[in-house]
Amino acid sequence: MNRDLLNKLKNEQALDTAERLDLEQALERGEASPAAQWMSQLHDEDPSMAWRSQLNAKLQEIAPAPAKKRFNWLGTSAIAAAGVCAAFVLFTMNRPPAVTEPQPHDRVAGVSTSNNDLGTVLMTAHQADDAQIAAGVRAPMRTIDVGYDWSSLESR
Amino acid sequence: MSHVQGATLLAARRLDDVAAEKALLDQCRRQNYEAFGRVVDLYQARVLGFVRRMIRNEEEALDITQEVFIKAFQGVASFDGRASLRSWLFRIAYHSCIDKVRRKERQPLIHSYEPTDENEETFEFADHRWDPSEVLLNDELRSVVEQSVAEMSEKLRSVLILHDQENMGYEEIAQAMDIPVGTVKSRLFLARAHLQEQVGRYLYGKGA
Repeated sequence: MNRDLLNKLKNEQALDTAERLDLEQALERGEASPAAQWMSQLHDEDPSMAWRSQLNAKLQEIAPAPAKKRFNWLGTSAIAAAGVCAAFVLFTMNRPPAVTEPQPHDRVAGVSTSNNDLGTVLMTAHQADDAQIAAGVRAPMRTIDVGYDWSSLESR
Repeated sequence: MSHVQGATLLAARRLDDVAAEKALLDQCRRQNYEAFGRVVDLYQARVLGFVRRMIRNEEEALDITQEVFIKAFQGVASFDGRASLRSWLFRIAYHSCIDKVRRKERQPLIHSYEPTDENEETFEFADHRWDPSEVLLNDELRSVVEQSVAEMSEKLRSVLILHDQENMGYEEIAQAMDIPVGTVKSRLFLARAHLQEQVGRYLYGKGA
């Protein structure tokens, strides 16, 4: 290899085609050179366990920890579910005694206690009317007595 | 080479399989800590070896290597996978080393090749002076090689390590270092030349 080419390589200057070819050939020969063989025989030692532990700790610090996140999510859900259950149990324990529903065999004699029951509505209206009449707010409703004209029947 | 290193290298070679690497990367992208741990297992020795040779301070090299993996873990979600995982890690490692050197404003020891009449012929790699026994590294020769590598400029050293030790291709190195492929080739040639000159000087100057 000539001096000009070596200087060009050293100064990292552009090479012409012939020089590039020279370099390619020199590199090919260099693959089997002692230098390349020495380098391939150099070995690298593993770092110590302490070094690795330190690295692991640093990586764990910056890791988003997806498993931990999932655990928190599950934990939160479990706590919420437990709260709902506890509230339901407390509600059930403190609830006033339920009114027993009429059994099928009592259906005829059964009296409904529902506020929407027509009987209750009529009774309430009647009591209100009585109260208004008693208080003199309103006169009792008069019954119109319409008699039947029997004469018309007799004239036939 | 220990059994552990052998197993690690074997595992790393298996990882060269694109599908396996893609699967591992997908897990890492989901910030899977265990998956990234496997990446660390596979590459920690190689990345540390590279950083050790780039940064000649052992403590700093250990810290920078940790930084490399932390940066990789933080950035793996945005890693597009066009480059291999290995070249991406070495890219981070290379730039971390360069940043460290620049931060410290340390003038690197540069022993670039200076062509002279005397040494010009030593860069013909078919040089017959080399005895086969001198190509095999013993502890003494390994130490000389390591020292010679350490005395190179970062530019030459990084290319030499990535190509001749890590078996990375020219394109891969160019991507990792953000330089043209032609520059990779120039630097590799000069780095080998420098190493051979330094080791030759030690071997043949020793007896003189």
